[in-house]
Amino acid sequence: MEGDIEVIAIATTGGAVSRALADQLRAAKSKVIWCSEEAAPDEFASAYSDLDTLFLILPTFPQAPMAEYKGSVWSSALQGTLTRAIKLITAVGAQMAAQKHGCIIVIGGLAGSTGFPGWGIASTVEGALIGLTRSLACEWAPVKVRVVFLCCGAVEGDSAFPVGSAMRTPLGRIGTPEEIATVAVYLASDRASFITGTLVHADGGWSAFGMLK
Amino acid sequence: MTGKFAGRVVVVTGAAQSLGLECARAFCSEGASVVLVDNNCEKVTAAAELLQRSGFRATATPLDVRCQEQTITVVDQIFNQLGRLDVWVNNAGVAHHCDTFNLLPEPWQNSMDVMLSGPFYCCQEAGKIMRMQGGGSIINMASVNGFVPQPRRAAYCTAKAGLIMLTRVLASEWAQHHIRVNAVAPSPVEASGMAQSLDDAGLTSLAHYKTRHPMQRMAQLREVTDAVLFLASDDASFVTGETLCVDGGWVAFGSM
Repeated sequence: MEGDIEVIAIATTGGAVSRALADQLRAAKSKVIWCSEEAAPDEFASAYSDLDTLFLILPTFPQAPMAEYKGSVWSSALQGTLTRAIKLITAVGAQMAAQKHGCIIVIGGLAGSTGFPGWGIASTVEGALIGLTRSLACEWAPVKVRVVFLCCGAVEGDSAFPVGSAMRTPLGRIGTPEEIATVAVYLASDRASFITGTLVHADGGWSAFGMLK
Repeated sequence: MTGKFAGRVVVVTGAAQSLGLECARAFCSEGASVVLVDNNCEKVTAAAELLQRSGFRATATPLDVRCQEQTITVVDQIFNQLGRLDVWVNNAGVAHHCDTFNLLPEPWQNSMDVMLSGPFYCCQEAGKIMRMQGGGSIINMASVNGFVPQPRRAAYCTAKAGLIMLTRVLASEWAQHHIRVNAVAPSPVEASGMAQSLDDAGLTSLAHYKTRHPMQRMAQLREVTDAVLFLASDDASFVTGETLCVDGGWVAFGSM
């Protein structure tokens, strides 16, 4: 917090959701800091010790039948993306815990909470972070740090979801980046002050839907 | 009138007191015309008058949601009077505590009638109007007890779990009509008289309830109504079939 200005970090490898999120946050007069892939988690957390919110947006993961993933793809996802996400959440969360105020919103897809053939890596990384979300929410609740996982369905500009996703989505269309951003902004706001350790779906009903039309 | 719900018509059941009344007030303060529904005619009339005195557009309608015929008549009447129906909040509930060996069919059935059949009748009638109108938003008041059990609350927990599934079914079924259906699952909300009623029921103390939450406190009414308003609003236009836990970490918590 800088005076009355919310200081918010977005950790992302790019994409339409992060841009929509930054636009909405700036419109609400928040200060937006980008946390690039190159930034060292510890150094980033020390440099921005007064963060109100961290949005961590997971990238799209490669898809393949499980037995066909190459070792380099696994190590990039686990030692790269997942480890980095854990380090960043831990480092930033520790700073927030020290100031007894803060909120971490992890934004991923549906693979951590539902099964998709060929999405083994996405499921593993997102599933791990969903578990971490629950544990850290319980651990940091007494020091007023909230942690929430936002599960997004098919969104415009996201190449992971197959053609036909609009039909599989009960609302009959895929989401817009702005629609994901409004949910993320709500979850980070004081209006969601009692929401922690939970998954929230912004998926047009995808995960509520049990069968083909 | 400005606000996120300006020009919209919102109906809240169980609106004579506590969470229902606060939902009604919150929608009013965002510009909605709100119909407060409750089976206690006197109390709900007084509640609506209270809101009117604050300059809000609020009216009261007595309704016992356990009765389908009454529900059909009342929904029809609301639509005829106000000309539209944008949001319906199924909030009416009963808290019944009893060890299950001694739980009688009557209180069991009453819990099902108020918290499962009632929302079903209301969704059906409100849904028909929303379909005709081209869309709408329904919010069901579930509970953390729809996910995690509590001893001596078999009927309550079962009804709330059913309500969560009803939410998901209707979301998948009615999305094609642009009707979004979501639920809010609060943990116990700190309300006046709660400590006494827990005591009377021979239940765990308020202090125990607080420490059961990782946040070490209970929800404020505002925190629950904020979730209801968010889900009902256009900000949640891609959210349907979701049950949003407003629980300070209650469901996530597995520890002592």
